Amino acid sequence: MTPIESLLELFGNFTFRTMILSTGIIGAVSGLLGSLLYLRRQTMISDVIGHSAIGGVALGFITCTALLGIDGRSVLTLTISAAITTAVAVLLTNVITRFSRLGSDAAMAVTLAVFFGGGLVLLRWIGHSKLPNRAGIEKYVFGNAATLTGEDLTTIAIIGVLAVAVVVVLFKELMLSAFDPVLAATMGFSPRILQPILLVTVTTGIVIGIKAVGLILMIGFVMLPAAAARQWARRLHTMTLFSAVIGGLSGMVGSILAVHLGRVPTGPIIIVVLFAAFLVSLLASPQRSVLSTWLARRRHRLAGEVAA
Amino acid sequence: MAVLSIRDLTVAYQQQLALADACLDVEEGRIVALLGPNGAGKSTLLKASVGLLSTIRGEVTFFGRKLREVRQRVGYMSQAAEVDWDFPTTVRDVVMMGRYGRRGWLRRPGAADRQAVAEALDAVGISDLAGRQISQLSGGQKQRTFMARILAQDPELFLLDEPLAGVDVASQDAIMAILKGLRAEGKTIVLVHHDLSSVPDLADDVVLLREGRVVASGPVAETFTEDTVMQCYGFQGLKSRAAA
Amino acid sequence: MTLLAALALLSVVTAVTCSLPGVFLVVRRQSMLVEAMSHAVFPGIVIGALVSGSTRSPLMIVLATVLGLVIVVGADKARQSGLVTADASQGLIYPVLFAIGVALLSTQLSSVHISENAVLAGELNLLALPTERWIIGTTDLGPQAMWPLLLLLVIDALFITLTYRVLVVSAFDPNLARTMGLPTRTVNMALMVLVSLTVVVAFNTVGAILVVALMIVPPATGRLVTNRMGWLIFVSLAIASVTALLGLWVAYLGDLATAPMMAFTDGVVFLIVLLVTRLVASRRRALPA
Repeated sequence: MTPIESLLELFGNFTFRTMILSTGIIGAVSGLLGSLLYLRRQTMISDVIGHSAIGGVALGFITCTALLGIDGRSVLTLTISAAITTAVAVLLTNVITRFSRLGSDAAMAVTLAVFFGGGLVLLRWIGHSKLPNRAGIEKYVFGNAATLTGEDLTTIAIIGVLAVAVVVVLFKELMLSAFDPVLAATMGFSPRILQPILLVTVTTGIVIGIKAVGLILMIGFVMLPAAAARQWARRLHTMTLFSAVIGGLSGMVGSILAVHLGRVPTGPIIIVVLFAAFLVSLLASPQRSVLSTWLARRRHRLAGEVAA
Repeated sequence: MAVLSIRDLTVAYQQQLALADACLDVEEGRIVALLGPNGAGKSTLLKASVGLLSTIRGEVTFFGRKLREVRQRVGYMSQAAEVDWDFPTTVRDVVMMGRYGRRGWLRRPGAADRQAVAEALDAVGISDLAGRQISQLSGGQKQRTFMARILAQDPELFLLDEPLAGVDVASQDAIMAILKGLRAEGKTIVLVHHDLSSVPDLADDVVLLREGRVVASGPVAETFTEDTVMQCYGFQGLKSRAAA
Repeated sequence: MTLLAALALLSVVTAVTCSLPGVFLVVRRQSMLVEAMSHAVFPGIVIGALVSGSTRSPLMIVLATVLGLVIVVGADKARQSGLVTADASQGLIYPVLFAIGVALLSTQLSSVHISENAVLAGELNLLALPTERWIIGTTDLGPQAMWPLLLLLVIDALFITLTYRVLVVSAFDPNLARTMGLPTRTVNMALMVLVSLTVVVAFNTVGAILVVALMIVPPATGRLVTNRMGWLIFVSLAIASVTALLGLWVAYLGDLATAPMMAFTDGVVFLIVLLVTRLVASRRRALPA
């Protein structure tokens, strides 16, 4: 069987198709949002979002199973609870940064302590409790794309499309506020409107990946495609597009590799693929890379020798 | 012999040349102002000469020797904007840092160091602020603290990166008086400067930079002319000269 | 020694050992470096455990510590290249290292026992059990896991005492430190080695991810109440001890996970102190002087 035939067969299998499509969408959406965070120099906040989501997973599960009596393990319930919790986590980070003279770095550490520490405490408590369907809830920390259902794929696709739509519609405003927030505000694009929209879009877009790729490695999904795309693009339009494409392709390639290797979790393999893409871009892109810098320096040095 | 001698100093940030073949000789007992628009390479010149930036080529000597042989005789003052003013420390402790270069690894600062710190604080007129947390200082007080620190360091050559940035009029006058006092003691001062109107009063020599190149250098009377300023700053320079 | 006494000892020693180097990271505004390091050392722990068969061997400690330094050196190189933004430089390397660790753990390592739970939250409770004590003759010297942490604490304390002034100047104004010819790079690198070592040694008790909370939050809380470097060190250690005991007490009463509860307590105490200091400051401003 040729590789293409085996790939087609893989795609014919429902579970694999769900996996590959989901990770592709997750990769593309987080790559797209990542380029915005990357330019706003807020990349570490995606780490806070990823880790704090564990608190959301635990709270969401308790609310759904104990109070509402529904299954707390679907992507939809997980995404809603995690998005709310992580949005609160991001706001807490901002509040601490604003009201203390500690930098945002220490504020992030405090937020992690509260939400990740608290989330683990709750998760352990769920494990010891008698709540139904509690088995496997702790797996979301590392993610498992093989457990995705068709319904989950639909949810991921719909939320993904919504996130993309927000970015496309508000692209000009988001770009301006990323580059020059003061100018954006004076031109009437109030940060009071833009910030919450961006916050909800980013947290939701990032946490849809929880069930498939886990929450600890989310920062890699957000940052690596953006950092790779930055080396190829001169403009934000192209950078955002490249970032989404790199993220989407790496997501799909990573899932296929994970299936072929067997017994390895999907998330980490995708991260390795993304890192490879980043490394190649950093070392050898024609415009902006270690190679082009080295060539330019060599030119300067040679020019100096000729002059002397 | 030149106190500071720079030959063909070239620095690149990524693919962009920040400083191209800069040459400069500074004589003893002079105040030298580095002038030029933003991004001209003024701070880069200072930083690269004391080894804070890696260079592509070029040679820098202090008192005819390598920096590491004469470190105690050279003092560098960072831009105030480059440090964290929320750092948990007091004005006195910051000034004491100037003495650390003279101490070995384990020796604690002694009576002589405390004396030097007290004198430096007095010289810049902030003795009353000695115990204050540095985050509570105004722009002028921050620059005075840095001035006191380099006075405590007691070098022969002062390299100052924008010592007059963000200061009030009183602090500007105080710092300029200190610089002139140092010159009277035979010390040499090289500073990055922005305010063209105070150049003739303060400096003996000027170095004009534009896009990483030295476009003119020499005594103020000969070099700081309408033509050279125009060449260096373009249109912008004329306006600030007119305003002055 | 009772179980509770052993737990208390282990918790306090872990918290204090973590927060001492954390003080310098907080004032250098490099808190999230711990987050990066604690993820990066993970494959070193897995490979070390695979080779030596234990999560406590010296080989594992060396290997994992070196991987932690890869973050420091790699982030420096990435930043110097000017091709990636400064804040992103750390975050680009550790996800892939952690991913490699997770992948190794799930495939190769059925033979080595590191549970996902241990990675996330450590095994503080298990390590305080009577079977894990260091007993000489009839004397119970407490949990074995406590002693490497104590040794590290002593090394940290000695290092900070000897290089205190260089550490402070390089944190406040690195350009000044370098032009004065102080051994800034050596001392900074040594500090980074100690931070990485702390992350690795604390892995057994608190896992890979909570360590950032234990290292950073007590000094951050201390920073809210003091403006002096010397005081900050003592206040941070005191806060670390108190929150460790408080967290342990709550976890013990409620039968909850100990290390996560310690981290959570650290965070809550920070928020309370922040609120109180803000209220006091605004009250003071409201009163006529």
